[in-house]
Amino acid sequence: MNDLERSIELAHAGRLAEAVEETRNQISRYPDRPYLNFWLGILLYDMGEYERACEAFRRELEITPRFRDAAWELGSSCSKLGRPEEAIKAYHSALDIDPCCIQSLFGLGNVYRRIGNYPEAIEYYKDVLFLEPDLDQSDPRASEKYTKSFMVYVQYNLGITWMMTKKLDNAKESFETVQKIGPGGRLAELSSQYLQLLSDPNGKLDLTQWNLIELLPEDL
Amino acid sequence: MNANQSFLDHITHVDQYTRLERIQQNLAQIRSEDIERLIEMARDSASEDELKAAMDISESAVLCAIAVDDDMVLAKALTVRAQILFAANENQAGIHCSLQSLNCLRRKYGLFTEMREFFVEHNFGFGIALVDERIARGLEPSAALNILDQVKVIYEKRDYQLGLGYVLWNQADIHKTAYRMEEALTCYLRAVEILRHFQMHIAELLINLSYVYSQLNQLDEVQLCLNEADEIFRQEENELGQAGINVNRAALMRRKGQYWNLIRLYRKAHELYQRHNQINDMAFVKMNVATLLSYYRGHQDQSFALLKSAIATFDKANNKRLVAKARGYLAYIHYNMGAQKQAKELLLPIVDGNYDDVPADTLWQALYVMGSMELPEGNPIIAYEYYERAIEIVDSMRAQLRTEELIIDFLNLKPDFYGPLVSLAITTEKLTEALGWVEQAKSRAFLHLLGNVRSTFRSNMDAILLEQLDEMDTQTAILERTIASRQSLESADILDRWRQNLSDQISLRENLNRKRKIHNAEVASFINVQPLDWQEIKDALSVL
Repeated sequence: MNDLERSIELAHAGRLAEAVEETRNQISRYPDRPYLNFWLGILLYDMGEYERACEAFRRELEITPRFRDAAWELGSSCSKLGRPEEAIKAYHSALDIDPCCIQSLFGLGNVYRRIGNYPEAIEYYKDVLFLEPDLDQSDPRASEKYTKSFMVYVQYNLGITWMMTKKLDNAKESFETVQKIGPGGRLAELSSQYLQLLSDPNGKLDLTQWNLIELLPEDL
Repeated sequence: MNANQSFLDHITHVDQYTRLERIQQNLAQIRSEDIERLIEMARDSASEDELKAAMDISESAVLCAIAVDDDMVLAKALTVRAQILFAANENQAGIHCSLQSLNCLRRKYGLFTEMREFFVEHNFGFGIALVDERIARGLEPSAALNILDQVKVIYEKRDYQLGLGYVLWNQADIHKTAYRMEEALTCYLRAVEILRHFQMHIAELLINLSYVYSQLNQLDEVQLCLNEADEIFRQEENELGQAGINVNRAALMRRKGQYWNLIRLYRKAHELYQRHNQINDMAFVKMNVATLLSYYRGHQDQSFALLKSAIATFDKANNKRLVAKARGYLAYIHYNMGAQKQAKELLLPIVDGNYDDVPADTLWQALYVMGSMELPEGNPIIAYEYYERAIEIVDSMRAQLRTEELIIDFLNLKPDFYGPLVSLAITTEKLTEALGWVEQAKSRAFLHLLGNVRSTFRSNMDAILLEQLDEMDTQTAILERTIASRQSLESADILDRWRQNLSDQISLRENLNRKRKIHNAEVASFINVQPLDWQEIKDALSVL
């Protein structure tokens, strides 16, 4: 059994605290070994301990500076902690390693959306869509669960952000896409509600009635 | 003379407007022969003391020719007037008449050679230069450069600055295509200086200049050129120009190793091209993105999809050059993923010459990969042939490189051809050829390669690797000394030593590649898939 296998087994069994302990033991024995701190960060993130997750990801990046996933996980942790500047910096460093890292582009979209910079958020969501342009039924990759569900998230968040900027036609288009590529899911259901609202010919859309941010899905 | 004088009195002793009016009123009475007579009179009067009269007469001739609406007669009149104006040092007016004359001839003749004959017949050097400048565009590079040099002398003499600017631009393009970047730079800089004065095509010229700067690794200058061109395009609200700037900025960032904003730049370019329905440009952006994606794990699907879409677009436009290029990229990705069958299917039409005008870079890389695939399949003779063809192309490209820096840069980007070639020649018992390659390897700046590898990666290398490099130096020195002693060349001992040297070199390369992968994902691939520059796009699309 290698350094991480035991910890992974514990995590899969839902024994996250023990997995953390096991990983810490490994780190104390092999402080410069790559990936140990990264795995620790993942465990801590899943436990909601974002501050400590950040520390772990930072240590990992000291050992393996060009480890893309550690960089964007750091961005996600900072974002959870409500530190947009640090998150943006971390996401940018992930993109410097891999400019096509869609998780970072998506993460940046979310950060900018949260700080109210909607135009920039939209640009980042569009960047993601540019890299995944062919998600229709004729595309065999549309059946890939991860990619497809990810794009549902992107389109949904984009739809919400379009609403915040009062570009309602664009919002409608995004919600329709969510329904098309992710039918039956929670986000498709929410999209349907929004579409009803958007197409209501009698009422003027009042965004203040909708706590849009709370309806947003979790970041990946 | 009296008759001439009377004729002149009739048309010259009034102001220009009245003259033209009178000529038009009497159009039915004016014959081409009369104008020819005027032209001859003007030519005869063109001695120094009669220049004034000659200018008046030639002006009348031109006006008459305009009135009778005969391009041939007008071309003659304008040519003579231009000669007289040049004689009177009225250069700008002379240039204007010459260009008008050329326009008349264009309407009359279909071929530049016919226009040239006309000017030769009239012994008009400036007119010949105007035609030659245009003829040069269709000539092979060295002939074109010679002609343009002569044209330049004539333009300089007549102070035809605008023409000079375009000639320099033309020369710069030729140098650039031939990888003579320093010469290209000199010409572009002068062209920019001149054309800036006229505010003509400066943004396009700056993009060309930026490409040369990028080849010379002067990235700050690239940035300045792009900024200025961007500003001009913005003022002109030229969205296609801005799209081109975005593609160039992306290329610059890739060169600088700054990647975080690349996708945004490509996407914006793509959107602008889409807005203007520039299908080929959109496909080109896709190809760029595909090459970018191919470097990183987990993006192969997207890379394949984008490249296939680009190939379909280029195919539809029947642009075989770009189809070949995109197929080449797709093949490398297959090859790097171990899908040799697919790679071969894509590359065979390229190496078999099914596409016209395949870019040299694409062709040698295709040949190299084909050779690399044939070797493990037990086809050393076929592999040898592919490598041999590849090296011919590389050598012809390398021969055009002048500066030390460019040679080193070029060599560093290319995989080692000589190693596999020598090995294969030995395997297939072509010992004489093997020795020839050894000799060539040495003469073709083998040491430059090592020197550059050291300088580029020294900072990233550990002590062991540095020791290996030093050892390689020693071995190379031994090899050099041995090769210098021709009489011992055929000994098996030397070949064995070369084999050893080769194996060390391959191992060294593997080490370096590992380091590269860690320090720079961009160069992780063994083959150099270069980002595409706007200039490359323009060059490629110009053949559509």
